[in-house]
Amino acid sequence: MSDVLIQMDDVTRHYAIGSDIVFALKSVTCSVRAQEHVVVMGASGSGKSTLLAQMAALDQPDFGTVTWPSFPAKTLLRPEYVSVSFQSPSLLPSLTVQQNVQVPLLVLDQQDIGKRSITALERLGIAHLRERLPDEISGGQAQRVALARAMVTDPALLLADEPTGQLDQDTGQSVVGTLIAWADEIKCTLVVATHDSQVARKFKTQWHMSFGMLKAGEA
Amino acid sequence: MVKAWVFGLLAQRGKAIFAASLGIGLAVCLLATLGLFVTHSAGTMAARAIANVGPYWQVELVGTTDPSNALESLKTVVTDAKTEGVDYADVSGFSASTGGTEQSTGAGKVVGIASSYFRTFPKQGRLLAGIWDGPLLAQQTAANLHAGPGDKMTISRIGQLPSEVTIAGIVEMPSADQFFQIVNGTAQTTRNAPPDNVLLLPPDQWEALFGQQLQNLPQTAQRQIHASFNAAGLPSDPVQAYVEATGLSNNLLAKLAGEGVVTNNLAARLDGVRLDALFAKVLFLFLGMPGAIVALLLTAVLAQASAERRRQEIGLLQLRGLTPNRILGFASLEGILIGSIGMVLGVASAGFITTVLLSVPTQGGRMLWFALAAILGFLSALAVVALPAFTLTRKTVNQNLAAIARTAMIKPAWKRLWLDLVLLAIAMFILWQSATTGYRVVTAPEGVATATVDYKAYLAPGLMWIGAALLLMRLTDVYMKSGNASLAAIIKPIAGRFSGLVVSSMAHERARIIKGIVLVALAMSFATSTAIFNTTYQQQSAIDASLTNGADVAVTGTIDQPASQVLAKLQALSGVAAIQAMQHRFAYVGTDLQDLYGIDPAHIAEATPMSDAYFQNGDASATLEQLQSVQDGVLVSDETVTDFQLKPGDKINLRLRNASDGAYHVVPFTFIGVVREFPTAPTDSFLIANAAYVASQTGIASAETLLIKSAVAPHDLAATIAKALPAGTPLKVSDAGEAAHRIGSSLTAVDLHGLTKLELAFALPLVAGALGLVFALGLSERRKNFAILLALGANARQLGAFLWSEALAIYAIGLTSGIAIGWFIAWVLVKLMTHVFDPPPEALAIPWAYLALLALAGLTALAGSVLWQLRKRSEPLSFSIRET
Repeated sequence: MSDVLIQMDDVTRHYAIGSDIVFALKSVTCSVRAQEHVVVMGASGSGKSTLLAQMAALDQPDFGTVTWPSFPAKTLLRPEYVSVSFQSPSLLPSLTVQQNVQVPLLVLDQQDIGKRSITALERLGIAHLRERLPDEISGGQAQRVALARAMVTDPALLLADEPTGQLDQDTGQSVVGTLIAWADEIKCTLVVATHDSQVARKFKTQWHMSFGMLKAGEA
Repeated sequence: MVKAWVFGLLAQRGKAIFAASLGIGLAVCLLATLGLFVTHSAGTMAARAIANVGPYWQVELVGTTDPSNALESLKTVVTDAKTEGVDYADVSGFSASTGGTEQSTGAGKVVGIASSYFRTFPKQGRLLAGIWDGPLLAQQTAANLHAGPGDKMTISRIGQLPSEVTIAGIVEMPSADQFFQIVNGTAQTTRNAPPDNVLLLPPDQWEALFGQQLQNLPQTAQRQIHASFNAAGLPSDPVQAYVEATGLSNNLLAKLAGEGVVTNNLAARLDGVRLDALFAKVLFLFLGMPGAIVALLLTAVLAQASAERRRQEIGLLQLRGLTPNRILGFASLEGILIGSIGMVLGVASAGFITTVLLSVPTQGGRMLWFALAAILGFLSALAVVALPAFTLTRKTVNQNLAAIARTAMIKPAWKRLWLDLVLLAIAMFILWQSATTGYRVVTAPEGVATATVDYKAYLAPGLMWIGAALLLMRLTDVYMKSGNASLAAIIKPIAGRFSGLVVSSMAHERARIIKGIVLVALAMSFATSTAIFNTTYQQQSAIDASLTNGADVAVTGTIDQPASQVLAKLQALSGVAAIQAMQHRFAYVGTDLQDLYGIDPAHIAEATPMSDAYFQNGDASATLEQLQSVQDGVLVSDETVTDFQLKPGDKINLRLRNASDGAYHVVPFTFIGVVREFPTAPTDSFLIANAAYVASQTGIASAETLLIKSAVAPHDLAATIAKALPAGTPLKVSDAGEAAHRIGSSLTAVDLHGLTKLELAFALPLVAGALGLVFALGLSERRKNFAILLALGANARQLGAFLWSEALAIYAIGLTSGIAIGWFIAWVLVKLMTHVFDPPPEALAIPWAYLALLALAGLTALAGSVLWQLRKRSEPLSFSIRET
């Protein structure tokens, strides 16, 4: 099996906004290796989310290629190999917190879904919210539920967009610490987008996005 | 800005606006066509009733008043009057010596009438034998006297010597009850049983024999003028026609100034029709309105599909500082667009349907109905868009611009007040109250121009419909709230391991799902109640016509020319499903001569329906079995039971004509039960006995009538039979269709096939539309959920689990509860319409094939909607907000 999980070559993605063309990604070339912990930094609108969308096969490049050498077909990536955690509200509003976490397990037709979902919630300190509906919890709590949902399947790669965006500094640090510890424990590769430098400091590999262009570097 | 807004609406939401316009168009079309059809039917009903009246007025002159004075008065009221003089004289009896035997009858009437009378009023008499000119003997009297053309007979006059006349012809008088009615000087008719024995004489001969009686014993002889006129000038609306016809006869009465009294047959017939016209209007209300309401609800659902976007638009307008009224104006533009397009579509399709498909002639009523329906449609469209917009303008910018609309979880007022049970209780109370009055909900007090409908009674089905819908909401809510395990088990085959999650999701989304279920149930109940009522109505119309005609086709002869002689020949014809011979004789019950029908009780039902309502015990098969087991058994009418104080098992001696000497001889019978109606039998007294027993006792085995069940259209079979009979045969062939036309003014005689087709055709798209559109509710939320599930890696089958499960719940609960509600509403309507049906139906006729078609159409629409949503599913939720 290859060591490279994601290979992006000369990927460009642009959007038409009115008569203007906005380049979210401009000739991006990069790769993510197994068990690597990458943080993607950059200002709002710099292209971080678009980069993660390409990596999760949630979007198609206009130019260039994205491949996943270690994984089978692109259509089978999620949720077995790749999990995603969104910045925007992404919980199913008619399901409880615990049921939301169970969804990927059911999609994979896995067993012990009750126990595993509780474990994931406990890890992030929100098990007590399991019977609540998304409407009944705060934005920060919802973000942690989304993260628990991404972690519950023990994926090979977890892509998280601003996982601490709606959390206070301490809780944010704690959540990221938990995420990294869990990733180390199960040998999961992490790619996390954030604009929080405190969070970024916890990652060895730091990438910077600016106007759709990527600059890689070590912390 | 208005122009830009309208163009923007059409560009962005053109499809949704057009779909909502279709809903409005459907409601407008349904209301306009039903209204026009019912108005037209009422007019047709009046025209047909008038066509069968015979003489419109019977003017009885007082004493020896000169008829020419009365005629002059009549001409001043109606200039184009066609008149005939008719004189009546009571006699003690008739006798005749024929075939070496002497026969005599009881009291009778001798009528002075010109042969021209039957040309002026052709439906009043039918010549069975002989010629028109000269003394004519009524059919039954001829049978009693064994007399025919050329025979001599003696009239026993009152207070004078008997007189002898020679019979020129035998005549049948189909409207004898009207012809011999008591002229009471009111606009109402007083029908009494026509005399058993009648002789018609030319006016000169009558004058010679009874002129003196008229002078000396005026209580035993009367002089009448029968008149008609061109009724084309009367209004087509039966109520107005009745008022005008009554006014004319009152005018005549005033002009006669005490020299005569008038019975107004025309007004009496229109009186019956105006009741039927009111029934028709009530039918329109209760069969058509729910359909229109469902169509409007569908429009509201479609409008609600854009509610989320509309909320945010209103928020943006608020942000720009527009006043609430201005915002409401902009929001109303969508309603105006939907209403305008819907009006045009509805009126155009109604015009096409009424003109091309139903061939309803152009008349003033068309514009009125079309205008009313269009206005109602337009206002409804405005209301479904503008009312929610009005509420939104009262909210803050933040509330309107929020990502997810938060709705207060307050228990609705109807639920807190238990309005569902209250409405059902009121409905049941009203129904019970109507039942205590024998369901007499349409009444027309004697002589009063305005017939009245007890509209309160008709609140019952309306309240029931609403109450049942609310109760369904309550029960489904309770069932779904708990994430019911039984529901999980039901959807397990579809949802698999997702079933628990799906049920839980459905429990949280139940407010929206219940709306869909109720919408489907309402549409289905409209379709079901309409279909069941219409099928029952058509069935009863057929039974009514069959009852009058005897069977689908009847062949009628006389005792001398019995129809049974052609039984074997007709049995072999194709199109004959079953054939039964029935004797039609006359029997003396004491001094009363009554019709006697000899039947084969074991097989009569093969040829003609034997309704339970025909018999007092309400059990046709038990009664016929009893008749079969008691060889000399006889069923008699209520009146005879009362007159002779009969008890079951009593022996009755009847006198029947015997083949040996042609005279009437005593035949013993055993009274076994009471019969109320029977195919071909008169409405007054008659008898039913075993044909075999009658044949053995009289020596005459032949049967006068053949009752035939048709395997093809009765009219076609009647034509085939008429061709098969020898030329010049005295046998008369008639079919139930002719009978339906003869029934004339009765509502069940009105051909509602067009209306039925129309309603059933509307019901199909309503049910299909309701099931197809239920997923329009909460469309934007569902798309978001799909996007999340796709991002989490769910495949099409797993997404489908949510949709198909919801679809199954909506289909199963909505359809079954809709059928149940519809069945109950139809039952209530049939009960309330008891007096329209003659006889009342024993059970509802369920149109299984149509209901299956509805279920299939609904399933197809629902499956199509699910597949469309799965195919159209949005892209997976992405990290970038541009993707969501």
